[in-house]
Amino acid sequence: MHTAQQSRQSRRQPARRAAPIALPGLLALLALLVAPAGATAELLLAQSGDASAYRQTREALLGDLSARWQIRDLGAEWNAGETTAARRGEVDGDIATAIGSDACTRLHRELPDTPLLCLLLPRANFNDIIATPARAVRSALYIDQPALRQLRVARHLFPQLRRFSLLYDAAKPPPLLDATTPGIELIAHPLAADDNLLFSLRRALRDSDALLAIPDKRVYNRRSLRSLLLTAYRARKPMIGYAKPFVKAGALMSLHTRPAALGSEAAGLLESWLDGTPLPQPGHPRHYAIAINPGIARALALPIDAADYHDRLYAAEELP
Amino acid sequence: MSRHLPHVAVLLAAALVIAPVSGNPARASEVPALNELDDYLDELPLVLSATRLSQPISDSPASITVIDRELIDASGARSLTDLFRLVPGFQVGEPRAGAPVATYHGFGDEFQRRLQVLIDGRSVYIPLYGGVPWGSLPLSLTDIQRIEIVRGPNAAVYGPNAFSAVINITTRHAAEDAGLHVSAERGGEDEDRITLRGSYHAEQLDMRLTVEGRDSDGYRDRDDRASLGLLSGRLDYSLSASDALSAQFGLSDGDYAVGERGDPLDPLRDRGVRNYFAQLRWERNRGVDDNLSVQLYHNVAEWHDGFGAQVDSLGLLGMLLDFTLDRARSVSADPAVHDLILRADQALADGDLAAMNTLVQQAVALNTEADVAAWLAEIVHYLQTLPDLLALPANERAASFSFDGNTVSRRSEVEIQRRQRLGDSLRLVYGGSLRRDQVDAPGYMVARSPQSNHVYRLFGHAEWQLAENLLLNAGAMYEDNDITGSDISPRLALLYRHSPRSVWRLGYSRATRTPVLFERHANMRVDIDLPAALPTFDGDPQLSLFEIVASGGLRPETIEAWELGYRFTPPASRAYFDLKLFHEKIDDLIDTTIGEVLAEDDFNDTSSTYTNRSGMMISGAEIEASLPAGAHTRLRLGYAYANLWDVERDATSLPRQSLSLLLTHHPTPADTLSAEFYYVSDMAWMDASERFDLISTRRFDLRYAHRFRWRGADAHFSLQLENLIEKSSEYFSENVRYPSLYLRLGMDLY
Repeated sequence: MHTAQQSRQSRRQPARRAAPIALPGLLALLALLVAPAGATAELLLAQSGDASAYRQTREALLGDLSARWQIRDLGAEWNAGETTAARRGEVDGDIATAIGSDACTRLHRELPDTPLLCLLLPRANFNDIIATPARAVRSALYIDQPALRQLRVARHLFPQLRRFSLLYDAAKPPPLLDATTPGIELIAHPLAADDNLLFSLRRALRDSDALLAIPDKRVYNRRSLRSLLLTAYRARKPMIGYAKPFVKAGALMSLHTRPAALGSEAAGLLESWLDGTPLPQPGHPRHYAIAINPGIARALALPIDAADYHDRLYAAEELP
Repeated sequence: MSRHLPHVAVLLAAALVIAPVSGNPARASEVPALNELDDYLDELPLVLSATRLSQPISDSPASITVIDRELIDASGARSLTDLFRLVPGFQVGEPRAGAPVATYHGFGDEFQRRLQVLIDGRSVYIPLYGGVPWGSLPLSLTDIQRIEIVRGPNAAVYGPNAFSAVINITTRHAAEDAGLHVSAERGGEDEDRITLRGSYHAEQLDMRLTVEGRDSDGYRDRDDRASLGLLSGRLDYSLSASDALSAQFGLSDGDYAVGERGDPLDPLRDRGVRNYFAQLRWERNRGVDDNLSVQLYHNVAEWHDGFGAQVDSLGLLGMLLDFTLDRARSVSADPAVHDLILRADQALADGDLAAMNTLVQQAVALNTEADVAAWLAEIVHYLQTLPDLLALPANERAASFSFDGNTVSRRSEVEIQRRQRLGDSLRLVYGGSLRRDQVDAPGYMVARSPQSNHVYRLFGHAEWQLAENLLLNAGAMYEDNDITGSDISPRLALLYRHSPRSVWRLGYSRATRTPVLFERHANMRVDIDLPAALPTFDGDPQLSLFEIVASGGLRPETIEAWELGYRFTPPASRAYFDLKLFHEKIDDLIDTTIGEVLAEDDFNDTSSTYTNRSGMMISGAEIEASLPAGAHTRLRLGYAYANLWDVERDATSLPRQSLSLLLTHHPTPADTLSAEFYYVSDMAWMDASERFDLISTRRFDLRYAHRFRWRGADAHFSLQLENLIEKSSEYFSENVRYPSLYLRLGMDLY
């Protein structure tokens, strides 16, 4: 909780919201205030586009980095489709950070000898990207919240929910299947190539209390979501979303990653790296936020005061 | 069997159209890679909006019965009206195949005028003669998701005619269908049904098309029959994250037998029925309690009916005599008069003129109410002409007539509704609508057809959380129409949450029922050109029968209802107990009056008209409960006790008691066993009460259903045995239901 408040406070400072032009000045100021100790390094920073989530990650990252860093910011203008072969020499740093899948894909390919930290990208995408090996280390903070964490929190907030159905493409079984947690039963429903999604869903809903959504595009996509949410609701079984927009659309709740919190966490990793700690294994962010749809909770007679959990950030090991 | 063939042909043709359309939204093909923006961060369309979410029943300010898909399946209902047997206080009957009816708290006849019935917000009430064409709605039972029955008046929320109760039917969103569904049912007295449904899904669009064919040979002992084909479609289009468009259409076409074999004035014939509609609804949802919707629809109901014949005056005479006796019987409750009529019946059958003359003297001596003596004298008069008629050759005795029974009723409406939350403790719903009804019924409104009515409506209701455990519901509807002018229907309810599991509710509401256009403009009769040889009947060469002539000046019926309710929700899964105590007072009831002398020239003592009559009161109690017994067994109970005070009519249209029990048991997740029992104490439907046709019903059904997978498809079959303990009558005593077996098979393909 302490960390959460800190990160929120820091985001509230107007200077952090300033345009990129103001940043060098700000960094200079920080350099004066915080006396640099030990090593300095150059950070190459790229983001996949101008979406606000990327910007929030970047701003929090830059805001939390110490003055020991020199930033080579490729900014939002940086376009993943453009070839940079000619600029390969000039675009480099001691370590690189990519925000989003596209930026990660590109820096991984173009800077095989530079350590790379990828941020805010789906776990599956990162695994696909590093399937082509590089010489330098690759790490990531995924956008995904671990499914097991979703389950634990859902069970904690709604003790009525014990049996969760998991619907997934049989060709891509999620790692979650191997995990077990006391008090939680996970029922796997792999979807074979010929299976009809809705028929499989109906079967899955019959023997569970809730449906746990995971990032599997065969199952959860813009085309199928209406069918999934409506069908689950008709069966009076809530869906636990894997991302925040699911909740507004009609899922009961979700754990999600706040881009700013992820940016701050990345800053911490980079600082440690500079102090000599190697980049950690790619993994899920340490913090999570909870979104609850009070209308769904009410309609499904699941008592909860959604406002209690609104706008708060929790650390991985804590339950709300 | 031959009449079944057209439907089969239509279905096969439809299958050819539907099958290629049906797409599978999630067949494994090229699944694109995940993207953090698309799949984690960007806004998704609001799917479960407030209008789609059902508020927990315990928070409802009125007595509500919910029939959801699970209950529809478990009950084994074969028609929509079958389901209402589960609702306490409802009476359900089928006077003839293809024309079932349902009513709440009595006063039921073939044209039940006191229910508001909405399908996805569209009123399906027929403005000409009232009622709902339950047997020919362009709606397949398989497309229904949920039915909410508000037991009591509720015009503030549901609009005009939410008088005795409201039936609010919701169909499935097109996104909930997948692939191709086929189901077939056969059983009973040569009854069968085939349903075919296809669906199609794209990025922002979901579509469904349903085709159904139904045939029934009706009651074993009667000449009734019915057949119907229907086609309906629904398209849901997601315009943006907050805006959605829904378009629906439906068409049904069929016929059912009406009239009686051998009755020249109401011959056995097929009445064609056709219903169609189109509906468009736009909805904007900005959050759970922030909704704006605009809806328009056009509804059409048609009857294709009529007959003409030449009859022998002799037969006509016999019928007139019977008719006169029937009338005398229906008007008097005096046992002495009934005894007299019984003897007159015998005298008539024997052609005993002398005996009849004696009876006339006795009737005069009885000096009872009504003109019984005068009518008996009429019989004597008719009998005297008999020898003259018999002497004539057959062709000179012929009388000819015709009746045009074609009708068209149209209803169009546009409605706008806003739902919003003001602060933490206040929620509001308000809006308005414009409606136009148009009817054309040349035989029912002779020289007065076509007619129309316009209705303007403003409504609003608020839910105000007064304290943590106290909720106030208040609302009203203002209505202005061409027939009875303007009126206000208010409604007030207080909900007190005594504990997290128990809620008390206290409510008052008032509603009105505007006369239907037939009640306002009726001019119905069968004119018979009499042969010259029949010189009676006041020298008029034309005889008008079955006259109903509206005289205008009607006030709307009003109902005031008080209710005290209690709902207990035990911790067990979805168990509940609901009790409702009620008192209803109905005033200005619109009813037919026979033989009232009015200024109308053609009005005689065989005519009737509509007038407002004195009121009546109904009090009683209703219980509804769902009780789990173990993990796999559930008992659902509905019970109603009611008492009707009516000074003008025998209070027989409302049964004193009714009970429904539904026991379901799942020995395995794939198997369902259910047993149903229905009991209705003595009652007579309004159009049967003149015949003192009191019936009580006991019905016991058993059902077994099994779900299985067959070659990758989800399939189910069920076996249903109905009326197991005894034969029971429905609506009329001659409508006997025999023990019968039904078999149903369904499959979801792709």
